[in-house]
Amino acid sequence: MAKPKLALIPATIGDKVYSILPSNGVGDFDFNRGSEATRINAQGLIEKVSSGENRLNYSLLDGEVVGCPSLLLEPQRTNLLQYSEQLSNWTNIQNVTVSDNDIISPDGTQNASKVNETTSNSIHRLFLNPTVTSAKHTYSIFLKKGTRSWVYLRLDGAQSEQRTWFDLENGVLGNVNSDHIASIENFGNGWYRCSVSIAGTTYDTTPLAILALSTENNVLSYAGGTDKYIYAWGAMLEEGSYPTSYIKTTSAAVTRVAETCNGSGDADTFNDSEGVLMVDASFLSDDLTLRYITLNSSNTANRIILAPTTTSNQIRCQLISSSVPQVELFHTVQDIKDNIKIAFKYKNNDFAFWVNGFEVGTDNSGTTSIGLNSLDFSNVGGAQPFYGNTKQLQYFDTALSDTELEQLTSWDSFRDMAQAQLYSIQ
Amino acid sequence: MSWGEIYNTSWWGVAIDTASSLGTKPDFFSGQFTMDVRSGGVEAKKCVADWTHETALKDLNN
Repeated sequence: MAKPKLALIPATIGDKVYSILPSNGVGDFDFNRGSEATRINAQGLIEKVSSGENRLNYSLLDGEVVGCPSLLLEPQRTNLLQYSEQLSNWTNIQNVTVSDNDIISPDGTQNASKVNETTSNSIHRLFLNPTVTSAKHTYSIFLKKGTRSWVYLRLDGAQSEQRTWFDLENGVLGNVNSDHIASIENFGNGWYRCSVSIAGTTYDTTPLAILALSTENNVLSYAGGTDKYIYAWGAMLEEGSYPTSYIKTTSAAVTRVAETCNGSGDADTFNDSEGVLMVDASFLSDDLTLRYITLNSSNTANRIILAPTTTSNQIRCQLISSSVPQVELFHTVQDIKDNIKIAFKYKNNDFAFWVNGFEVGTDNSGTTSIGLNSLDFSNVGGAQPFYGNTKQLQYFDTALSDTELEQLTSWDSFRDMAQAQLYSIQ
Repeated sequence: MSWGEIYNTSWWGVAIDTASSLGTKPDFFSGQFTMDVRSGGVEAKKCVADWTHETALKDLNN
């Protein structure tokens, strides 16, 4: 196997994203995020990361950290809900009592709220109702069962009263509203992050963000019990079609600004004549938005692009030489939110696209790009930034053999492959 | 295959030998060290070590 000229294995936190190769630092990426953010740390806890520092994010499988961290790059998001961790401050509390700082939360401190029913024969709920822009929104909250294990979240879109139920005993969805995309993610220690996103394209500018207890799936109203409760922490309402990393609020909305990660390598790092660009990453969303990783000449005339397309779960590689597209190859994967190993080999009249151990496309005609001098998690100039989790990135300055490319884009075992894609093996 | 055989037949083993004779550090293995120095601390050292080890060992399969 040839030796990579540049290798990024996310392993450090700092104001750069440090590449292991080359060892002189030329391969380091310039990183920026002008606000605080949070990540899942090596202990599986949600942890604050200072402004300007990149995030090593650890994946959770069945509530436990698995494998090595990835570099998390996310778009700008604002948590529109005040008092995300002090739910007793919410302005609408109906037929429940809320006690803050009652139990250890997913950040490892005792700051989660206990939400206790009253005996009223009614709906047992609390909510905020901020006015938002007319756009897709996502409502998420961390929940843990107490003596109740069913809850529902309400977020209105095309209609009012759009509810989705969650089973906190088994960590599964109950009845999902037809205008909701819902998820439940195990954060360990009994905590689940439950989320609902608006599915359609009709929006409500006062969508509500309701958390309600329930006796079972699809039950709305009932006689409560003073010994019936759940735990809640980390509520978040954000504009967007999918949940992103948690943003803490107190008395006002808080914004986490977008991250940028560009500028790795130089003209000596990259070979214009031949090479391989390999990325092992997952995208945050299959939202049909162009999200580029490019090896480029600091202008759009010469570029190698790895990116999803506007077709669901489709990825492509493209090579442009002197402003003329030479090669464009496509492949559809099962889910671009799963980890994917992609490699693109380039050499005059010899181009190949490899995905997860298989050659999925070739082109035997075309010339290579010239003046390659920068590897970016974006298009040239920072446009169409990549948002996702990157496990590794490698660049080789020679065209690898098919055997090497198969090896480079494969896993060593079924277990490694399943774990990388966060599948439980039953 | 023994460690000595792995060392003698892999490119990284040769790289270490060659670099030692030249009084320099092989780029691949010093990568982790210099990243540590540049960054002020590598959090996931085991991940880097595993990747280095795995990538190096894969060479033997070809």
